[in-house]
Amino acid sequence: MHCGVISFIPKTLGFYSLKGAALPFTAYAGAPTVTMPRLKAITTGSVPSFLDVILNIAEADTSSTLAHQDTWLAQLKAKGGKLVMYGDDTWLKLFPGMFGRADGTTSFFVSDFTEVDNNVTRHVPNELLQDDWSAFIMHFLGLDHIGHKAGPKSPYMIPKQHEMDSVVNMVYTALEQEKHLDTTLFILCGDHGMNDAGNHGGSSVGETSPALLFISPKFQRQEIRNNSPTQEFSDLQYYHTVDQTDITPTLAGLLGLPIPLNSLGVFIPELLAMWDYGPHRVHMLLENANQLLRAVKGSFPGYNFELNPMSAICGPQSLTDIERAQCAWFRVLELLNGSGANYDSGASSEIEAALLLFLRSAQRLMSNAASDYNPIRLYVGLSIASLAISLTFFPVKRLLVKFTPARMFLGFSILSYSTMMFASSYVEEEQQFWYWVLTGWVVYLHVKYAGYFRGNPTQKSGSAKSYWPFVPSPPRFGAAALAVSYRLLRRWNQTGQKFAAEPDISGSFFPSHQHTLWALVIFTYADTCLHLLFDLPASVLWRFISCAVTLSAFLFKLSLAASDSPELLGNSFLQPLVMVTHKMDLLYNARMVLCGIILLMIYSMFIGKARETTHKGRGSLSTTFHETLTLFLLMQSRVTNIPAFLVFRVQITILASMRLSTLEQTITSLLMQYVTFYAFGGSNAISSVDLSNSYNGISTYNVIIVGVLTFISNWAAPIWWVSASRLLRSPQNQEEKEAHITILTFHLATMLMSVMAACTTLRTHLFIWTVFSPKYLYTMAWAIIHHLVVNVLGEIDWHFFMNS
Amino acid sequence: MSTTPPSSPSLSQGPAAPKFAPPIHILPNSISKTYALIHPVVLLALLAFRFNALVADPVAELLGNLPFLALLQVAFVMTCLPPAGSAKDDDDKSTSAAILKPGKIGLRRKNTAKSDSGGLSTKLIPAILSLTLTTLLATPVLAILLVLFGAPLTTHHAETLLCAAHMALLTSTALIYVHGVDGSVWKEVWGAQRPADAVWGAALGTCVGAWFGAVPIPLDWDRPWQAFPITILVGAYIGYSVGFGLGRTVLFGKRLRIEENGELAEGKKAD
Repeated sequence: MHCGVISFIPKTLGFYSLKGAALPFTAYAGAPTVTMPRLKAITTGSVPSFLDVILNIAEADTSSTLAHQDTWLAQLKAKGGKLVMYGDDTWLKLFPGMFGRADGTTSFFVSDFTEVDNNVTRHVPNELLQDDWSAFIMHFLGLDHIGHKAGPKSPYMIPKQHEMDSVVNMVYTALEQEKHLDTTLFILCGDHGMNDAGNHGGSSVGETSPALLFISPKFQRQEIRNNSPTQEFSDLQYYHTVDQTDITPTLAGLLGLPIPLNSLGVFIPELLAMWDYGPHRVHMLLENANQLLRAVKGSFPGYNFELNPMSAICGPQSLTDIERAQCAWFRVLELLNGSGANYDSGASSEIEAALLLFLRSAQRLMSNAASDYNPIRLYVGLSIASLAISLTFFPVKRLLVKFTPARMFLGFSILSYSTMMFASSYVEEEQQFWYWVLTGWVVYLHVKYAGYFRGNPTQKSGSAKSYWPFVPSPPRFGAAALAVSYRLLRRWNQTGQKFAAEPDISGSFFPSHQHTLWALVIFTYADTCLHLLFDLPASVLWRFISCAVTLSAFLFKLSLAASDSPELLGNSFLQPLVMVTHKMDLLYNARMVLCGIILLMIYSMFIGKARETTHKGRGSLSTTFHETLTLFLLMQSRVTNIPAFLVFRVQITILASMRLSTLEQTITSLLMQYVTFYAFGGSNAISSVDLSNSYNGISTYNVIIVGVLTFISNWAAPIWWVSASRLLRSPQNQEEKEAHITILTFHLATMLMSVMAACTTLRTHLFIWTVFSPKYLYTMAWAIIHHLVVNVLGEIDWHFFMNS
Repeated sequence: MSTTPPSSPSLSQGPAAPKFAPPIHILPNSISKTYALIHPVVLLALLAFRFNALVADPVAELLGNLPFLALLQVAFVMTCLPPAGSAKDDDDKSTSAAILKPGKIGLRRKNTAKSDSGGLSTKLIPAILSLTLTTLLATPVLAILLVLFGAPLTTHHAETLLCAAHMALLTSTALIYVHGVDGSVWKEVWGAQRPADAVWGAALGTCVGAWFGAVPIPLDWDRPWQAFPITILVGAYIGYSVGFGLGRTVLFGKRLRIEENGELAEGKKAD
């Protein structure tokens, strides 16, 4: 018997006629709903660990290989079968050397909707004529990519599903017509679904409910008729819901292979109908039960599964999961003993039911217990974090003794954040906290700086004098203008879980107002270019270079948008320009821009050095550097986020006019870093990681470069605010700069501590893998990369090193 | 939340800082004092009594309750508060003349002795004025503030407007009734620099309460009362009562202080 797996994301199930030749299911895909852990579940039948999410992104890593694990592929190969695979190269990384013929497609160029699938489809007719394979795997990526790029309601979606239908049709026709495919089972399944935004990784019902379809002309014999299309019996659940891990034992059973050792799957009962003779079916389930029992015994060595009348405490009062599994197994043993070795068809259905009951309860038991922890390490981590807090606490306390109202605010913010980390909804909706706290902070700034307050502070004048020479005196409505701009940012990208699908500026307004979008984008680039010209010395060459770099950066963004998200360009006034730039090679264009940016950065350090020696022109290093950095961050941001940088400019100008105190500058910087991260579409879900700018200028997969570019494109706005607030603080002395970093470190340490404490205490929580663990991964990125690299290293006076 | 009394201008960095209008006392008769105790309780009771209806149909309920709230607020200000221009504080003869723009509303009768029980019209006219201004000015301003603080801009217009109307009745009716349209007092209000009294405490409390009212909205409990204006409004009502109580008792006369070298202040949450 041959078998084929075709894997993609069908969201709408109404395709293909179910003329009794197919058994449809909804296959529950547990979180993390990303490809690699899901392939593990489908092939080994086990529940994947959360570490697989990181390995999914760092996919060059070979530690994630399943080459030495027991899978149905390994079993099939051990039996002498030949395996063939076309599609997502995750398979090749998971199973090195497993496939006789293969053609992998890298899955990370998300913007490609057609080539990834054509690369599979072109092999299909040929392979269907071959008779040397025992498993033929097709993994289509196009639908996944469309989801990521344009969401489930994209105009590309329906044509792509029709294309998939035609592939299914082609395979089914071959199954009917080709003699050697006579006994072939065709399995159609999605590895994961998608949420309303088209992303996946989390645990929403859309992400965890992919389709599963067993197709064979042989099923027509079974007289099982299913209606199609059908009504969902609950949210997105069609027909009968099974677990994705159930595919493994079912396949093993149908192919006559031993069930993989670590499988937690249960043979899908509907497919038992393939055996007419009762004892065969019981035998099938018994094998599954024995395998699962071994796994249960391995995890729970303290429990006895030998039938012993004294130990049986199975009453109607069901107790824990393990006891339920025990009782179900005792019931199986009783029935088996009662019927003797030759269970006839009368007893077999009863035994079948008892076995299925045991299998389900054992599966539930094992899925919940699948994670094992090393509490010692958790506590060591917690103690290190609390050590960091205690080390920073006293310096911060000493620093803050002077600044009372703002200190209260900081303390209030830290305390509420720490408590919030224990509530899953607030972790999912963390942006709401930052927006909420920010409104409070704006009111503080308003009350303090609106000028109604008597004895208007005549503190440190000269703050922000160097960079913003023309800012007016504290504008009376400065804070009000800030509030308006924050309200705008808040609506820029809807993020989180609860309101993610609501209309927002970047997802709803810009696609329907393309002229506005592109006018603003051009304005943002022009504004950056003007700043750059203003900061550079009056040299024709450098002016030309900076204009050329800005222009090519803009053209790169334009042609990237033309190829990635044409829906943003459809009928804008730039369409003629797109035609011209279309011939340009994206890769070399990106490299050219990057070279220009690096050139400007190096130059900015040198002119800074030259100026420093001649006159005390403070801040010039930072400004040329800042503008060049802005260009780079624009390049790494989504097109729809680019105009937000204009809003940032307005905000920093208002803030500069307010002449904030040291602590206020630090709090503002801190709040803006977090607020803008979420305003740019970030969240605490793995599915919100934006990969669309991770491949700018690189042609092959390199985990370090892709990682750096991914970080920068997701943290573009916080990085901009670190740099901008550094300029805002440029007149500060060394002591104040240290105070800034100390407070940031203290904030981060408390944040780290609270997230770790939440993950430790809630490690048996239902949402530990779907909400708290992703939050922990994000916190690591905030702590290790954003804080240590961007904030702390950014604070070091590189200028100083250049001089010495 | 603690501040320094305005009587001791401890920090006089600014030369000749403007003098604050004094805090407002509840009228010193037993009916006023008793009703001032009852009024916040009545408002909270009304809210509790109509809560289920509010959850079921916020727009209809908010609209239906608006006249009753207006009536209650007017009854409260007329019973318990001195109308604008009737200020009988001994230290304030000069400012009281400036409180009302001359000729704008003929209210400059100095019937100090009668102001407790005095002629109905001296109370009715400022009450009507304050109600008018609350509707025409305070409601749109609060609606804008609500949107700036995160209320939906493209949807839920009726909810936002009605929530603003309720908050305006809670905050502005009494403020306008006691202060009229005195620009300097309203500057203090806009800058959150009023000395605490029942009126200002209630107004500030309403806003702070509304701010805290947003906290339960993101929770995934999927309760109908988590819908947009309900928690904000409940927070506002509770904040009103708390601010009212604190303003006329422990915090009376104190003022938000936000200077770097001051003592504690609570200046961050007001709007």
